[in-house]
Amino acid sequence: MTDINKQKFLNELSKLLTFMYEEDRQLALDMYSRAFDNAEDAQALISDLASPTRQAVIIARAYNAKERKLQIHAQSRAEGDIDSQSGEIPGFVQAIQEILPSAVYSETDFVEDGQISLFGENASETVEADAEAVSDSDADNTEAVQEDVPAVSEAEEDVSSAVQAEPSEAVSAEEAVSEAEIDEEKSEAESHKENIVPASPESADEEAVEHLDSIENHQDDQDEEDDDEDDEDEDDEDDDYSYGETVYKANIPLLILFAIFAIPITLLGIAVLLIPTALCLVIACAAIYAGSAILVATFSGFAVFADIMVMLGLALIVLSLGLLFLWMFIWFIGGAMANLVRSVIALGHKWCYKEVSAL
Amino acid sequence: MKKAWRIIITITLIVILLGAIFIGVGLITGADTERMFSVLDNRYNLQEWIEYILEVQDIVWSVFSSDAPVSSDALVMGVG
Repeated sequence: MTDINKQKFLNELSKLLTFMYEEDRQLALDMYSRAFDNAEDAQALISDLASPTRQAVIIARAYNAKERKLQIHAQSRAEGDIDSQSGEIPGFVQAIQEILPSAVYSETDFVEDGQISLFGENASETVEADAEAVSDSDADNTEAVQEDVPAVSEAEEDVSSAVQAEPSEAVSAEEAVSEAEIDEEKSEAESHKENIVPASPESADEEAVEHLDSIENHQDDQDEEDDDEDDEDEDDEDDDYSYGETVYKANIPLLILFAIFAIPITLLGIAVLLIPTALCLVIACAAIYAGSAILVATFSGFAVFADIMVMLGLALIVLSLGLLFLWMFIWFIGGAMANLVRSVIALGHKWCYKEVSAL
Repeated sequence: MKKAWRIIITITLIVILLGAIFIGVGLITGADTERMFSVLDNRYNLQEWIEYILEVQDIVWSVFSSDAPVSSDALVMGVG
């Protein structure tokens, strides 16, 4: 029974943590799973944790996808694991670590049966209530989240920078300030939790769901904005286009001069290439016609086996030469002429565009 | 393109080799070139085609050379 509840809790939590990166999500779920394994009474732990939604909200407040992405890039450059061999502990891990020990060892508050009804008989009603709450999410929550998330992320930055092995006076001062800020936020969160849990657990869950969805929407919007900005950058070519962190700027007078000389030379080159192209086409057609004629004559005009073998061999040789010249004709059109044009364009790009660092 | 070139050249070489083998087998087993020429001439007027090609060659040669062109009759006599 306890295994079923643990599994249900973890499944619900897994569905609510989809805003996280896969590795971070798995890490968080592993931490909760280990807590369940280490706890003496799983039911008491579940009641202390309140609900998966509540846990997801707490983790969402401590998790910033952009900051996490930068962290992962920095760690991958240092060839470290996500769990930070360099000592950087992600903010959401710290938040979970703060929750789990306190949830296991603190006095359990009174919790109504309906609060953990996700695992009980009232599961469907609770799910419907949550769905209604999600559909009526406020813009104020979004603004509050926007204010909360940067504040929490700044606190995370300070904490993570303090954890790194570069001690300095400035860092220690920042540590003291950031720790004070984190302590204040923790005390606020705990008091908020204490106030909400006994009073109206169902409404707390609804608010948590709204808050969670507003965070997800905010992160989705931020990702969409980033994508839009990237698309705009790609579309905005004109004379300039960017590759990585550099921008290619065109030298307009040189470009015009190059075009004046390059176009006639390219046309002349194509005209010169047309002669062997036409020659190859004529030879191919003649060879294929001759080979076909010899093949027809071989089986209709000759009676001696030896003559037939000689004519058959001759037909095969002529037809193969026809195939070769036909392929050469195709190559002249699609290979030689196309490469000539591409080479001229590449040369123009090399001479007339200058690589400049993006401002 | 490179792969296509390789395939075409491979096919061409195999077919030419096959043709050469057939010609070799035919000649070994007693093929007569005069008999074959006469059959093709009866069917496709091969002699006229040869004369036509030689005349074109003479004209082209006379355009690019200041020397007197070689007589086409002499060439035909040589081929016959």
